[in-house]
Amino acid sequence: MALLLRTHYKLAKASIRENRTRSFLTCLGIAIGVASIILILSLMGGISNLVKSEVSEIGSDLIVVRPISTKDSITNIVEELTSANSFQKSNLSVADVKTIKKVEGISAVAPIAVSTNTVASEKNTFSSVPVLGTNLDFIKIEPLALRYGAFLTENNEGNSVVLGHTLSLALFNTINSTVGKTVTIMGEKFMVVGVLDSIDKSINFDNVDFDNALIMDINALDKITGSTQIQQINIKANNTDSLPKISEDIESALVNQKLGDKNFSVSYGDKITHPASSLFMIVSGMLTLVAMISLVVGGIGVMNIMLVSVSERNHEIGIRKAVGASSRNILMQFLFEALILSILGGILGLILGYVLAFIISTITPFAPHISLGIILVTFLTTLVVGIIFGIYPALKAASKNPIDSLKHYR
Amino acid sequence: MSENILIELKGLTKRYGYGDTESFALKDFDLTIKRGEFIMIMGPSGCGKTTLLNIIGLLDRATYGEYILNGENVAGISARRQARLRAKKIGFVFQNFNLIEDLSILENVALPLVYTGYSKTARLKNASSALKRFHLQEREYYFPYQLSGGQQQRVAIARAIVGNPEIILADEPTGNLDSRSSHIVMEELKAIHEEGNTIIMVTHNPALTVYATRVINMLDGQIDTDVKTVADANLPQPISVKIKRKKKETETVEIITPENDDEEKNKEEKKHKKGRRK
Repeated sequence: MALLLRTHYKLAKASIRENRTRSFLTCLGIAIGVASIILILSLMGGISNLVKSEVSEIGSDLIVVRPISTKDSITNIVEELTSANSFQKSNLSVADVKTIKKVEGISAVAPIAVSTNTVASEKNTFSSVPVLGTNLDFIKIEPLALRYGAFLTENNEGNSVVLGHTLSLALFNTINSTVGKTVTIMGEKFMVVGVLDSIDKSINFDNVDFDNALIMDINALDKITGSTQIQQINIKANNTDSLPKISEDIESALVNQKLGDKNFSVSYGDKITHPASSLFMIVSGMLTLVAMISLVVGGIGVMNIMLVSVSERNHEIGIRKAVGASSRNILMQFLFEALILSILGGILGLILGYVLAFIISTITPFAPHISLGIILVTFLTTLVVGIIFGIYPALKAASKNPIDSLKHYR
Repeated sequence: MSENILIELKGLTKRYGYGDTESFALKDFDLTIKRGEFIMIMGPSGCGKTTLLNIIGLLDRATYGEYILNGENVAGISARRQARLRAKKIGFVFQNFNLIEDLSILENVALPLVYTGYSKTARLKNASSALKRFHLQEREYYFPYQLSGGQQQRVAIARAIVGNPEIILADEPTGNLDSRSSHIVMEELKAIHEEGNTIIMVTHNPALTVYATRVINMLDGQIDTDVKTVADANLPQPISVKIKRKKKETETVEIITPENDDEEKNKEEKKHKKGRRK
């Protein structure tokens, strides 16, 4: 049996080599499908790795409170996708921040409220600048380094702002002499007290691109915009071991304050992910689905070429049967050919996918995630595709009547 | 049952179509074939010659009737067992040679051995010595289209005998050949027959019947005339066949078949063949 399998393998190899161009194109169909799956999975993995590593950098004593929409997630996501501002519905308030502060074992609490505003300096004006409203505790939790100046202090919090590295360059064309200058937001003037160091992490658990952001006091932001929406409250605990208890305390305190309405989530450790995680998952799920469809199209290509091969080799099938090949021998011969085509396509796709992922990673802040699991799943998928789309042509070849096949000669 | 009987056909009927379109390629066909016979089947087109050959070669099945091969009724066995019997006991020679165009001569000849579980080296070795016999060894790596019709047919015969089958079935093997090539091919078949193989051949050419030990004329799916030109006792002794079936009993086989004149020669050949198998 093993001998026969090797023979089938050799026959398939010979036949594939015989029709090189055709086989290559068929493989390419599979390869494109596999490559797109690999690309999406590795980039997705890269993004979640990035967020995870950031959380561990900040420290294991972080607790995050986020609002939960009462609507079901699909409606929510559709609304998020269709609205210009992705942070509209929040049910966390400044009062909640005060409530959390009272919980025992906490060293710092910082709300994060982001709105987009037009920011102007004497030289330039920029619209759609993310303006982050927070409090003085923020710098205790986030490990943000300041390039120049200082963070907000109690004395200046009402009328001062801190600029991100890139934003400072954009507004004033410089970073070193920015401190002390003024910016105008919705008619109000604010003084720049500090400029952040470049951090180059646009994807983080705060979902704020700090390089481009402007940081100010949440009350001042509330004053100029009229309403602030808190997307997230970051909490630093005194003690890592008591995280579960503290988060429970926070939860019960908030539920009390909101009269039993539990429309928020409290998470810590590994559970802190990207804030738009569910949206992200759905989008990448959709992309994976599209990639799957292209893999199916590739599979149909394999089936098509195998059917052509079967009818081309009708005479050969007749001869083989006449000299003693059983239907099963013929079936295996053609199935092997389909399998080899799709596995070759899979290998090609694996390489192509990772090359593409690395090329993309040079312009994005995250490295592609390579795991043995993904490679294994891809291999199995191509195997399954090969069998599914190879079995019909192989069965067709095997069921040929040798007498009819022998009559068909070229 | 006499042990020399190779094939017994009893009441073999092959029907095509039903009702008004019903027609019979074979009708209540009875035939007994002994080992070592060289049978020529003649008859007009559509009298069922090829159908008979296909049924004997286990490529086709009779609608009803018995087909006893080596004492075993093979009419109703599974397709898989039929294929195995085809690989081991039957060699086909066709009018249009039926060589695989994409394979070299050597690979074509080795083809039947693929399905009987030989290693690649053994396959090519056996194929090579089969080709040598037909003086084609220097053309081993040619492709079928590079050979003349007569050469192609000799390759096809080499393929038919490479697995040491008991029965060679030839469907108008000289039909596509000129008279010179026909003569060579027939001489080769004769040589194979003299070594003890049973050959059943369909032909339209009455001149070829001189090679046969038995000539059957068919008409409308039945035997019209059946003439034996050689007495049963004088049929060549089948040797390689028995060695193949039961290797350990080769000694007894020799004792059972002592009347052969060139026993010594056969023994040698037997050894040669056995060696080749390993």
